[in-house]
Amino acid sequence: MAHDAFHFPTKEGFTFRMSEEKRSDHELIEATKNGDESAFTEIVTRYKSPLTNYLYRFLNDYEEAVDLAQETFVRVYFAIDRYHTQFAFSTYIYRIATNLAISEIRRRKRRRLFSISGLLAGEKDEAAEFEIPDDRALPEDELLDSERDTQIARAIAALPEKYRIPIILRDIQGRSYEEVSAVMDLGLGTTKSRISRGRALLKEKLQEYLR
Amino acid sequence: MPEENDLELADAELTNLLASMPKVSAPNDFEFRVSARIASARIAAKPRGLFGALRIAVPAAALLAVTATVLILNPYWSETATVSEPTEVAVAKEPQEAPATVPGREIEIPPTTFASNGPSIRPERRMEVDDPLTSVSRGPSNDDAGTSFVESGTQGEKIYPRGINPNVDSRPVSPNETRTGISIRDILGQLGVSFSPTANGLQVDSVAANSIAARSGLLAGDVIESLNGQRISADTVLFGAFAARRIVVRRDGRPVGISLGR
Repeated sequence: MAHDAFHFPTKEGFTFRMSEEKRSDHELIEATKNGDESAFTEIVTRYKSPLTNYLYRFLNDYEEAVDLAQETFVRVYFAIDRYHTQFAFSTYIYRIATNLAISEIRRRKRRRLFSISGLLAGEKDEAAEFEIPDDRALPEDELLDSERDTQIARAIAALPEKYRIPIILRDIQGRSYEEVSAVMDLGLGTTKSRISRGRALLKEKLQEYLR
Repeated sequence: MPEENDLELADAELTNLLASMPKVSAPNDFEFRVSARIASARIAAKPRGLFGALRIAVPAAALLAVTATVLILNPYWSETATVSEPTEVAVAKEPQEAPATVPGREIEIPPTTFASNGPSIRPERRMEVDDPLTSVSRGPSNDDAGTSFVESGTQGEKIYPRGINPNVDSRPVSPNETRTGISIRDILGQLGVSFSPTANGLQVDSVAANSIAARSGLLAGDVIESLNGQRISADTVLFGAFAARRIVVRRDGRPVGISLGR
């Protein structure tokens, strides 16, 4: 039997289904819809690290990445009835994570933006906004093995969102072009173009490591 | 072609570089924390149905009740509510003395000096009545608020405290309320006259030297018949502002008018 499994309680409150045969994402989703919480736990276990790694490369903040990854699964859980299995689940979950990450980045920008219109307003009393560069040291430097990794992380973090997302998905997470375009809800050509442009920007910044 | 190959080579190098980045893993208690968040979200989403509706309806009803109470009890709103008939408002403010009440127009208010017969109208005692729609809370006596009211008279200047306009006694009083006033004895005493009531009027017993009455020509033996045109007796009590101007006395059987203040 495909699902010849047994359950045992864990401290997490879920039960793990031990099976010799790995169930597909869609099967797990269907099982979750039918009330099998262990199936959802399996989904979490399957995607927790890829998603955390993706969000970490996106945000450069491990704690925030873990938090958003958890939030992603919570949202998936409560919206699971609305998920249609004609789409790849990985695409679905990466899209949710991406939207959360974009929201987080915009929230950070709002915190860093402030107006000094009183000091430098023009004659038309136009408010001037200045973005303060984020010069904070990466808090997870210890996770990076070398100075090279630090420089790569900084170069990725400096990319505009529209290039950073496809570069991380394609070149770090190893997703296909089709998946990347589906996550970003863009055409395949636009996606490839952005990846190409993002790579060009990275090459400029990482020249010393490419020779 | 060589350039394209170089570009592809550079892309390959870059992708290898990016792929070689160390992968971070989720913490070991990740599933537990997800399950805890899901449970927490379930609890937060629970109060629906009747209880959920009550959570919104009860504070809303309380807010409405408080607002309604404030609107009803607040005197400002109470006055505003009756302003649709401006005439009635003014009457309500001055139930006894303020008859004319067209808002925004200049009106004449008769002096509120005498309790018995209404005295003559003095031209200088005109005032602007506020438009109740724009200044409802102000009473007539507030026209001079902030300045001391000075009234010239035969007895010199009377200086009243700020906010007190002696021309207008607008204090709302009930028709049966006993009002305090100034007796005719006090008034004549200030003029320097001591008198005795007789059947014909107030007979002057004596006039103080250098008093207003003495300078005006009042003599002992005169019988005072009227003051400012109003017949007076020993029991006459005057209310509000008062300025004695003219006394009519009977002297040697003939009426004699005496202007005070000379």
